[in-house]
Amino acid sequence: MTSSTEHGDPPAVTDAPPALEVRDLGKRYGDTQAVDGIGFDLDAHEILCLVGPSGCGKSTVLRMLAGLVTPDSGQVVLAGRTVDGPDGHLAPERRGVGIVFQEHALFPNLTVEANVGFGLAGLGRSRRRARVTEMLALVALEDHAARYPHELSGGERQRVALARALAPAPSVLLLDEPFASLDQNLRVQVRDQVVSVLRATGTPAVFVTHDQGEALALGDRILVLRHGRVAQIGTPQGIFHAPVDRFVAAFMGDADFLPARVVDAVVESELGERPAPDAPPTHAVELVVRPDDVSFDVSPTGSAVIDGVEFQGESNLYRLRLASGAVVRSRRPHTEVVPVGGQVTARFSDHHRSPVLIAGSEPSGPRRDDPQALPEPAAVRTSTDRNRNAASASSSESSFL
Amino acid sequence: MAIAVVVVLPLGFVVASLLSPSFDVWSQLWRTRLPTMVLTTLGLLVMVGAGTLIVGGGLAWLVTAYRFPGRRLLSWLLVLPLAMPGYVLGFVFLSLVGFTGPLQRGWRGALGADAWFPQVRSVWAAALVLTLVLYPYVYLLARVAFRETAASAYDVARSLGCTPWRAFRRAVLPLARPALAAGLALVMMETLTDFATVQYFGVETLSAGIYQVWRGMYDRDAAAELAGLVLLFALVVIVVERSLRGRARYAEPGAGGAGIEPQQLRGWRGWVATATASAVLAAAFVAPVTQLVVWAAGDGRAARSFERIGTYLSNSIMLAVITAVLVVGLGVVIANASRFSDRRMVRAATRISVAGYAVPAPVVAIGVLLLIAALDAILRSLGIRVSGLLVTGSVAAVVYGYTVRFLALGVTSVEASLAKVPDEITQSARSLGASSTRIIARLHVPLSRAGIATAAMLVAIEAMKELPIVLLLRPFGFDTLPVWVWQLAAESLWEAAALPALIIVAASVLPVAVLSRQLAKDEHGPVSRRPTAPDVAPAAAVRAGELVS
Repeated sequence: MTSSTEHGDPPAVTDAPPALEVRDLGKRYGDTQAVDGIGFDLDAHEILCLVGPSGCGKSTVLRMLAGLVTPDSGQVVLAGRTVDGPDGHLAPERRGVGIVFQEHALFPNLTVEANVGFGLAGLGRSRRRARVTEMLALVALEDHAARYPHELSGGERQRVALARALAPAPSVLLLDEPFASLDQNLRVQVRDQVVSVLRATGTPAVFVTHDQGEALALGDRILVLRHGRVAQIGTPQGIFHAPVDRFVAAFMGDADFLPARVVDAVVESELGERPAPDAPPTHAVELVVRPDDVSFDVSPTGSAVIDGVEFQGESNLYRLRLASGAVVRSRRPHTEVVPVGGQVTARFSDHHRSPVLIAGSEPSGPRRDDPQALPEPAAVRTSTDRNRNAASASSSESSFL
Repeated sequence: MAIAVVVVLPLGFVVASLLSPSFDVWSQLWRTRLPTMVLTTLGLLVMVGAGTLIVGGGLAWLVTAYRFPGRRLLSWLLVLPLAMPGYVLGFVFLSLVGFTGPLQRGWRGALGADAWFPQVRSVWAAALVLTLVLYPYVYLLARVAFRETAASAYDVARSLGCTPWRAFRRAVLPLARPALAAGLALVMMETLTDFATVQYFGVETLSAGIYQVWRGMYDRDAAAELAGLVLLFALVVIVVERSLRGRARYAEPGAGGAGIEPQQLRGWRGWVATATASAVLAAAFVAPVTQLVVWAAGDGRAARSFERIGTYLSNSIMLAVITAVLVVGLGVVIANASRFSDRRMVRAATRISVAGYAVPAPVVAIGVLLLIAALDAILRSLGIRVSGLLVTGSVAAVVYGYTVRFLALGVTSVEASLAKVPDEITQSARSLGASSTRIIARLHVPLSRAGIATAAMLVAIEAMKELPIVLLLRPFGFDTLPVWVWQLAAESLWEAAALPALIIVAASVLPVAVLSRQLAKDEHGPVSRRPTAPDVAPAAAVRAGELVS
């Protein structure tokens, strides 16, 4: 975990400046505010995932960082040098930022070697050759140097694109949905290769993805974007287990929502009670319930009904309709088969961790300019003080178990 | 941006002269022939417009909705007249139908020496010739529209109980209206441009007037005012076309479905259809080409004039090559400029630099003349005297005129092929530190070279065919093939004109054949092109767009 994710604490003072500082970045297209006041830091060696539904502005952010799009407002500081700000805009070719696109965008008329060497025009011939060889070795493509892009497989192309972007030793590498064009089996393999190359070279990177699973697996930290704003920023664990609102909870993994009440430091819900020592008392809240949090027992007197089941290979995902009409999902081993329509008693599963309480209605998205103020492990936001209390609530130890 | 200024400058001069009318010039023009010229121009526009609409639209519907003997072959052969310049068909027509032509001689032989025959040197005949060479514009656009936009509407109308004819009138025509309007606009632009063909027939249009006033009297002011009037006509055409398009501009590219299933025409009906289409093709292309071949083969002087053909051909080729290189070079710069900059100014400048093709050629020529005159005056005031620069014109002026006129063709073709180079390629290269010149030289040009070659070929061929600009701007003694053809034809030396005319037609067939093949391929491939009517832009840019898309 890096310094800036330590919620509530002042950011740790480090020797080197962050690889990338972004402050209040904004971009408007016509009537649409595509990016609205984004801010974050990227530490040396860190991998940050920008994740969000399509149209949330994540690609625009990436293009602004690369200098391909000029922001309307805000600042971008690359390794201590301001490249976007009140004093102007530095052209992409002079930033020293690497970028890898979804379709790889290899130069089809050039060989692998020439592709990788394209960004090394300033180097002498022998040094360039040495660097190209080094980069190709890094991605294990030494013997493909003379090939043309159309002679490579999808995974190989991806690695060439990576080698090409890393060859000039960029201060930051930007990756725009780099694995989206690969098929599912290849994707995990290439992803691991890419991450290990990034770790090996110590290159800080910003990934853009719409795939939450990928974001959870890849990022040191995740920044969830919504409507051009930061919905939440934090570690994968923090975001998955303690989403700040319904949107983040639903976007980062399967989630259902149950109305609940807090009475005397206990959360009461249809699935049972759980102690919540720090929760503000007597407020209607909503509970984030993930399929792994819910269990059930077959019982003829049970008040819940199996509404449907989806076979997912190693597990079955059951949909339960509770007595109140609320629907939650429950993941069970595939060895266990319960017929649709059967009566069951639903409860929290035994390993269920801290329940996550969020506001009763979906907020329109928090507006925060300072990423440091973002809540980290969990946010309790009640309907009465839901907008401003998040930071203070999150600074308390918010485990309700 | 500078390019846009250079392109617009000649137009500016014409507009300026129109805005500052000189009373003397106008009153003189008015007293003489102006009213007749305006009326003749209007009449010619209406006749050619109606003619191309009936011939082009009718044939397009015929080959789209009906099956008859030879349909597939005819459907692409009908595009061929696009390769026949008006000034070639014009004189062949005159020779065949004129007083001493075989038709009239046969007529008189049958009905006696005094038998009545329609006047050949008339606006009717000129309109007929222009209709025959220009109908393919309407034909092409209408076919695309019928096939893609209107197909599902037609099917629905038929399923609701309409006969084919009723479905055509009620469902297809309204949907195809924008395309027909665009085709018509192209036809009218070409009609306004032409003054060579109409002069065979003694028809005095405004464009012909420009030529006579300039070449006959060197009356620059009068020529400028007339050019302004022609420009006005062109603007009216554009405005009318826009309004005819109406809201259809926003129409969803209709799910064209499988296209209209053609109906079989049985028995004599089928043969009538074949005969109609063949007759048009014969009149517009086959017969004149045959006649030209016969003349060229039988002309003893052809051998003697071989040397001169060589000179004119090399002049033509030189002009064509210089223009093609210049236009494509500028096209590459302009097309790339909008990729590297998202500033509005650059985009607007790009659009403006493409305006040349919507401006009739005589207007471009006169604009260039006025520009040179202004330059001349400036030089003279500086004490430098370039004798005769204005009067004799220069090859540079011709190239300038060509560049203004054909730049649209170059830009649209290069843009179309550059559009196939993904933005990400450019962006990757930029983030790797490459300058824009390096990206253009190492990536964009190599990756779009097929499109650039196509553009160069198209421009070169158009420049080879071009007559009005070179007639107005050429220096004395500088003749190109079209100029020579035109001069020989004007003196009724048809046999001598045949060989150079054939060369021009042969060169023009090349792009048309490529286009036809493309269309034939589309017929069987998926319906992909947007059916919205193209802008009133270049006649040939339509072809270019077809070729490269």
